[in-house]
Amino acid sequence: MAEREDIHGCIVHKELHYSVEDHTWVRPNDDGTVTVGMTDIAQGLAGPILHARIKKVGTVRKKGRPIATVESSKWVGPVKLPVDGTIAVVNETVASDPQVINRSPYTKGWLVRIQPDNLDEDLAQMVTGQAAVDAYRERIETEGLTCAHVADFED
Amino acid sequence: MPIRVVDAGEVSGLRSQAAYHGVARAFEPTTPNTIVVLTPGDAHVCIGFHQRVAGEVDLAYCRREGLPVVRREIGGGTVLLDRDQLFVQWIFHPSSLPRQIGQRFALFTAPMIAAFREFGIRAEYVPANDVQVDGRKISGTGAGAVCEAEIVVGNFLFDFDHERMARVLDFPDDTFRRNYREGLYRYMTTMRRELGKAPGRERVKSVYLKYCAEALGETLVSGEFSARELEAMEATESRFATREWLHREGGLERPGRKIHADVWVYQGTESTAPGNIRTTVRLRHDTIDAITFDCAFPVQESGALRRLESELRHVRLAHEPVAAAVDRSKIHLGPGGLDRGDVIRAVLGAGAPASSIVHP
Repeated sequence: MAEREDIHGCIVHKELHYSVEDHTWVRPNDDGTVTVGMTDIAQGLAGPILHARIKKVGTVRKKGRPIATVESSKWVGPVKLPVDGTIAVVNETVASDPQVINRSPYTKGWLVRIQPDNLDEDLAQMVTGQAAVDAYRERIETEGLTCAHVADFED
Repeated sequence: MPIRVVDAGEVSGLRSQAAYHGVARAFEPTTPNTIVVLTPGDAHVCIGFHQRVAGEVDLAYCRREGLPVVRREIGGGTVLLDRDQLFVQWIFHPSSLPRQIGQRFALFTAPMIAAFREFGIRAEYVPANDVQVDGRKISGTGAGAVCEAEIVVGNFLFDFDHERMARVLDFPDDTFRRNYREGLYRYMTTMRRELGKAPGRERVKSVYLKYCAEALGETLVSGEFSARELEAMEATESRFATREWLHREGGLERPGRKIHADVWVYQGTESTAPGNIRTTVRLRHDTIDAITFDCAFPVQESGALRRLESELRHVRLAHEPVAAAVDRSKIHLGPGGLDRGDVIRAVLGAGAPASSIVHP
């Protein structure tokens, strides 16, 4: 079980690496790829997600460029890639069940696996562990953020 | 930094959509928060970013009527815009708007509501993003992020062509269309309908902007689009005019048709011993607002279905109240005919997708 921190109702998994600005997370995998998803805060801000369109496998993207667009009942916007790389795998579950992102943002609701180009460099610009908790605590408290969770939230 | 207000006047339908996209695409850290007010000079249909145009819009009708169909880059459903509306668009830095989307809509709609009220219309904010007058929608809003900007848009309806809206959409059959059209008349209103006569456009603009300054606590300064923004608008127009953009893969499937946040129309077919029953139901919250049965077989008692429809009106969509209404209707149910359970299943089945609608 991942070590998790509850910050005013928003969950942060300490083993993940975060782009706090874009509300995305990265999990390095043993095969050299990284898994990328939206944070609990991102899903809470978006609200119940009705649709997610993810770029295709093989798409090459620079950090900061969108890898997906998500639409909730209130808002549509991009999910920005936190590392340079190529989409290796797309989470097909998200297409048929976009609210998996709301239920399980860090586990079942991941978006893509990326073959990164400069992982060490990119991770160095992200925060993890206690630093991530501290960064999110500051952001959550400064901006008065809350994370609405669906009834069957499981992360 | 003061907020720039660009009064773009009356522009083409395509430009009315391209305007906020262009400002967002050209957005830089030094770009001031911008409010655009404009009038779509010609009627057009605008679909949401993730919608599939085929099956959503009656393209043949739009072609015959000369109605352009445009896909925007923010979400939501199909809208019909024309010169009887004032289109207001906020293109802001993300840090200048509340991060919580509900608070963002509350902020965006506050000056609209204040303006409506100044004109004597008792408008109120209905979460997540409607402005309503006694349960009738008077303004639609939408939001999204494009490049580095956050966008929120909405409209003042001076008048609205309900008939045309009901024709623009693609429906499975005429019953569905009729039910939707009736819903539009009942649950969408306009300034003209509320006041008998719509106020002048310039007056609405000035009252609205006065309340924008108040709600945002900032000075508003009249400005123009930059050359870079105009260039981005032209590029957006070129992209939006392509067949590829309009017909790009959709994906956002809704199980019914929305009239406003609380009113939806659904349809379902129940297979029964004598044949299929197609049920079209308009729900307001979880209550049947209107219902129509079309049976693919002769019904023994003349008028029975209409009596059943009447009994079901204003009944909550749940097994017990529906069953009680079926019993009250005294519809003839017997050997070889409809089974009581068939009718109940037909009603509950038609409205079942309502439970999958995500209400914020």
